Amino acid sequence: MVTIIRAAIAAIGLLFVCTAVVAKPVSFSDSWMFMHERDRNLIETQLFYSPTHWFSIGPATTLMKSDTKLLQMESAFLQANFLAKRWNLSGAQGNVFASYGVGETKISEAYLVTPNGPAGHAAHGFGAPVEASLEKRQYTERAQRLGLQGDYETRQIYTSVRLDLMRTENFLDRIYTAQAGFSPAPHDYDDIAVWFIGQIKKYQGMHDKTESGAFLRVFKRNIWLEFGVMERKKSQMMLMLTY
Amino acid sequence: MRKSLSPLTAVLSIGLGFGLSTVVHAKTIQVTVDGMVCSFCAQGIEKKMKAQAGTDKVFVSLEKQTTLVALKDGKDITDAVIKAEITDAGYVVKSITRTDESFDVLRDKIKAAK
Repeated sequence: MVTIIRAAIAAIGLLFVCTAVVAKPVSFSDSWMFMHERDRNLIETQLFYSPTHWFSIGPATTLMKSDTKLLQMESAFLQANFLAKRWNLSGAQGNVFASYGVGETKISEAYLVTPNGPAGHAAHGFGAPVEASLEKRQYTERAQRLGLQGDYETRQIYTSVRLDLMRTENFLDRIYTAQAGFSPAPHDYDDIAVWFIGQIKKYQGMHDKTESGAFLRVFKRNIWLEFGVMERKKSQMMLMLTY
Repeated sequence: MRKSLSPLTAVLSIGLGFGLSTVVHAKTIQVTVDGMVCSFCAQGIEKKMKAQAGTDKVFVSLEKQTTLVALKDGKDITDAVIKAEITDAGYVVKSITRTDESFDVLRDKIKAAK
């Protein structure tokens, strides 16, 4: 029965097409995982408890900002994560994860208003009349998010692809992430593992852009720290702890 | 007629008892695990094995894909329990071997083989 449920979850995930994850959202059984990620457009914090090695659940908060900072979405979810499939190989591991969250999003928008009426979203208001004024509004919508991720790693090679979808009544935001990296020296449990990671991220929805960047990933035992730079000097960092 | 146990016999009996116990119970269990590639994997396996009543110490080597478990005196952990715990952590047991070699010696051998 459990196998059927997990296969169904994997199949649903595949319907949404793509990818895999940057950090694993499910850890070993009876463990806690804390993740915090931030860059110029996104601040995300998650706390998950894994009762088994294939399922975790917990709260997640996300703050997404447009490049102009005139559109902001602040979300809180209850999120469940599933390890849909794992391949345990000799010296390697592959995974497919799926995540689903439900919650609310507080949307803050700023508009340019001219004497003749709204001139459109401020983020796209270039060329608007000088006399236009800025108006703001805030409202809350129900939100859902779906994540799908796959990864393959050895002690020296890491690859992952990931899709993040967030949907409210008026917005559909998609982020596609692909990462590939290597570790110059194979690490062991007590060593500090050092990885060099390249990343491409494609945004659709709040942003329509593609960014690439490079990261340094360092971890030892239960602490994972990642920081790097994307295009246009945009920095990004992630901290993950498991217990 | 009651015959008392001489001190020599008592010492020999105790010594024989310890000797037999050493033969019956292995000191260290060596488990080879597939899929163990990162420190988070190792952490999960270490936590699971440390939680066993018979466990004294645990050592995990990612390079050798190996987990060493030092057993407490007179205690054991069955193969079935080891397989269940490592499967529960999300990994696959490839082999389980028991030895009278000490945990520390085996750990040092693994570390020296890097």
